[in-house]
Amino acid sequence: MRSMLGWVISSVLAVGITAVFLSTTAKSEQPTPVAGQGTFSTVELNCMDVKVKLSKVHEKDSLMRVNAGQNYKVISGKLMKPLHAKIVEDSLDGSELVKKAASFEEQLEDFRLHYQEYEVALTGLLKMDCEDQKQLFYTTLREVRDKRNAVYEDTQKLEQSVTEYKQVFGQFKETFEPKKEQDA
Amino acid sequence: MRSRITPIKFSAGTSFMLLIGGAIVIAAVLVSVSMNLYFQSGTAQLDMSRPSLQAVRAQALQNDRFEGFKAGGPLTKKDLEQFEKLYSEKTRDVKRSTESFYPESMSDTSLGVWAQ
Repeated sequence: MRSMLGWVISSVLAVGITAVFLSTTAKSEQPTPVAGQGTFSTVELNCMDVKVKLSKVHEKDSLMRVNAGQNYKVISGKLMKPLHAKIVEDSLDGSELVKKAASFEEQLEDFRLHYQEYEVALTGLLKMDCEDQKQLFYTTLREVRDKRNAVYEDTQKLEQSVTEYKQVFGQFKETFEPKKEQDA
Repeated sequence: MRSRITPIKFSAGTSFMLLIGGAIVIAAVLVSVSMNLYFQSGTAQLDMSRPSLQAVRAQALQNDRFEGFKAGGPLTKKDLEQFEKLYSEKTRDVKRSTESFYPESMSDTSLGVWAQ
């Protein structure tokens, strides 16, 4: 009986400490707009209208994030990697292709991270009190916009990387000799 | 002199209530840990089952059907032709992804905001 009571009390204590720790961590991750940042003496906006438009952007971007992520994943996992596997199997030189693929993977990681930051910031903005704090709302909007621009730059870099890989592949294809012909 | 700790005694009903209470608290914490991981890991951003994304859920791509490039066997010129075709197809999709994040959709003009 005593041991059971001790177990319950220690469990409750452990749970309480964990909950406090988690809530502190979660709070620290929330965007914290700084009052007075930026110098806007006049901000004119229809809060309801802007929030509806931002919600639409949020909705569209979420869909685009999923679709873009799938396309990048397919390029990496279903095209680049199987090609590299065949190149290695045939003992051919595909080092340039592997380098470009590694660069693509790094950019993809940046894209994932930046989108996550942007999404958290936009969600925070949509929950903000716009009516009473228009200037603060606008300052935060500008910060969210910067984060979205970072995502846009990532997609541009990824597109560039995909194009460069195609060029390197073109060179590889030109100089390619099938293994059987080489052996013969 | 020998000290002796008196054990706390609860009735069967109180013990049962403590057990149930403990189980509820533990369940609540495990749920909060899971939710925390769900949001912090980035899974939430990819979750199209969220109620706010109901309208666009059907437009999410189903790339499971895309077979991709076959890894087995020796590399031939025909394989390279096939790779090029598949890669070009996906390159077009990637270009569309870039256009979708064009900054204009969050500009002051698009949102109807004026600031000075």
